[in-house]
Amino acid sequence: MKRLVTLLLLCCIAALSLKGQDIPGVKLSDASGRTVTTSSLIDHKTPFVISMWMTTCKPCLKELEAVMDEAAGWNGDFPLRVYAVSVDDSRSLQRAVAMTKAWEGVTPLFDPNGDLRRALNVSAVPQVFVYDKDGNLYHTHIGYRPGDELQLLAALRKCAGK
Amino acid sequence: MRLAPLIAILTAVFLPLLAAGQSFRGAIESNSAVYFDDPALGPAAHRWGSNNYLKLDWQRDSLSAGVQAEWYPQALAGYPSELKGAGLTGLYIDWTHGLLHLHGGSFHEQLGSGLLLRSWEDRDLGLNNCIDGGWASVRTGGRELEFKLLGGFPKYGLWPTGASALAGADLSLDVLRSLGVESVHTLKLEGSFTDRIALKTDEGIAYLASGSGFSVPLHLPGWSARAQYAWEGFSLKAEYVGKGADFYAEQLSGAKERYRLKGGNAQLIEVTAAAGPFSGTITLRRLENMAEHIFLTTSAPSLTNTLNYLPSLCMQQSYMLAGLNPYVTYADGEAGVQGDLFWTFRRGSALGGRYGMKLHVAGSWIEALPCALPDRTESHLAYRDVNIELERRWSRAFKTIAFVSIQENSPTHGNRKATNAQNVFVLDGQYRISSDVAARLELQYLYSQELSRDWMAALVEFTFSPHWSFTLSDMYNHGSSKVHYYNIGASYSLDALNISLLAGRNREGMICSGGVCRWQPAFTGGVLRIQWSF
Repeated sequence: MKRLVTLLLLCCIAALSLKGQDIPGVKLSDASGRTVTTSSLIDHKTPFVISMWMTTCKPCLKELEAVMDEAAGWNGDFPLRVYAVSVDDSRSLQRAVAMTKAWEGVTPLFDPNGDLRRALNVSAVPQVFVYDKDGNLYHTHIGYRPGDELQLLAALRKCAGK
Repeated sequence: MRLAPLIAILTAVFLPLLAAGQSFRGAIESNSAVYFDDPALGPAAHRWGSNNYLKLDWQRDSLSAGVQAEWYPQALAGYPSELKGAGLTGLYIDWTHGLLHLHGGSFHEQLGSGLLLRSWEDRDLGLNNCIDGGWASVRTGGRELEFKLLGGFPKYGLWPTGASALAGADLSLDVLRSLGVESVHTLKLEGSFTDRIALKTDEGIAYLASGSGFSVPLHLPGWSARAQYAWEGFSLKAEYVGKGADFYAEQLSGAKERYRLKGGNAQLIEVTAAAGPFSGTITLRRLENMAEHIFLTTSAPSLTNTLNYLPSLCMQQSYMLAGLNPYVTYADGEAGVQGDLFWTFRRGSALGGRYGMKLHVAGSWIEALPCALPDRTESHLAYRDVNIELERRWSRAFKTIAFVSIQENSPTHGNRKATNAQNVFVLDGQYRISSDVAARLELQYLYSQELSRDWMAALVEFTFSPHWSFTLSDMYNHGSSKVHYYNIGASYSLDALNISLLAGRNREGMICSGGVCRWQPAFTGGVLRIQWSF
């Protein structure tokens, strides 16, 4: 009987996990140190991407570079919104800020105390999240292999209904 | 037991109904290893190890709650010995109402840069010094002013020790906004106060203190004042941290110690600037007696017995040989400077070529404070390095990174003049075979006349987007031990699931994450890592 109870509870949890997941309400900061809340990323018009990265993570930088390449030639029917959230701690925060100064096509944000990282249960970077226009999770992927950026943008287009 | 089916059915029916408007998140992570005897390394201390984590979060509007459990039937080799058994390492409820934010249960916190207080989780280090208690914050509508009060019992290992409690307050003021000025300039002033309250005093510490004619203080106050200015591509941060008098084991020459009360302080200045293709940052930091522990003990120091963040002031290396002998912060006293310069050569420019090029130069110079050295003589170099990384894409398919790192590290933290120098050279090339298949080759060489002398290393990686990657690597210490440290690995990803398997021989040394390091013993074996979030 214990097994039955456990099984049913697990089924419930699994069913619940299939629900759309709202983006958790967490405070981040921009390059000037001002607070940006995750809820402010929702515009109810277009989906968006959150890419969790850090300065010492080579695959993260490769993924963001590939996304920026795609962004340069982006001619989608909707604006491409990619938020690159650095999970570097305070030691590397300024380095991350300096590194992002030359970036184009992605918006850098910073999570030095790991609040969003914890809220999204990110145990390894890079991890990308595609949220729909209302902030519900549509797609996520851990790790980066060259070519993943194409999968990411395909998921984003699908999420936008394009 | 007759109630069990009823509970199950009610749960199955009502839980999804209750779930309307809610979201659930969770994550499971399991890192397990088997260790084998190896003639090159000697017999394995343990046959296996396993670190396991479960985290569940629930949210409905402005109310959220969660739980984290950890299980270490036997911790992986090199992890802190206090990680043993199972325990709840996080249980919280969080509520926001307008300008008020309340949090009860476990929490992580960082005040300023973390020099004063940082509680955080880092699974690579085996560190989770979360605080069991709560905090409350209130802010003004435009976030011009934010105030936070916090308190609780810091966790050591899997449970709070009960040896100390912590209280603190933090105030943040956005000066221009508070004056009603909407500007491209940002000026923030912040201040924090903490108090570590000793609830129990280690008998050994009390004995040493009384023998030296003082008693261990019950309260350890700490404070910090911070200022931050930003304008377009420029930002300046300054922080001063002070710490009250605490038990201090002063190192004397001849490997002797003297015990006394001593306060601590730290100063930090960070400047970041960007102009055109250039951007850079420079950090200056001086600290004296800034190690702050959850509790004082005469036992061997543990990485997890910490309440603040003292990362090494140098580049965090990501190539194997460059990170072979990392620098670790000398918390008793050091002063240093570290800088990064990024230069982006745009596409189509003379040097950038058709696909662009990036140059990154980083360097650091750290000296110990004479007052913190056993010999009390002039200070010598503790650590310095220069790192140059040039990344160039030659075509849409082919990209290379050339990296040089010249490092000099004092084994006595600057107490003596002798240092160990090492020069590391890396060539990293990636070729994209098709839109979803890529190959990468790393060639590395370390030249040194000290420590274990010369090393060479190579890594080959094949990736198949979006699911598979395979790596093969070898580090060979041909200058001294003649031992090969080989590894073969495979990784599979599907959405939020990642499974990786790594097998081979690993050297002993420091494993660093975020500038904080732990000792990793040598081992031969296999490591299976499973990560899944939902």
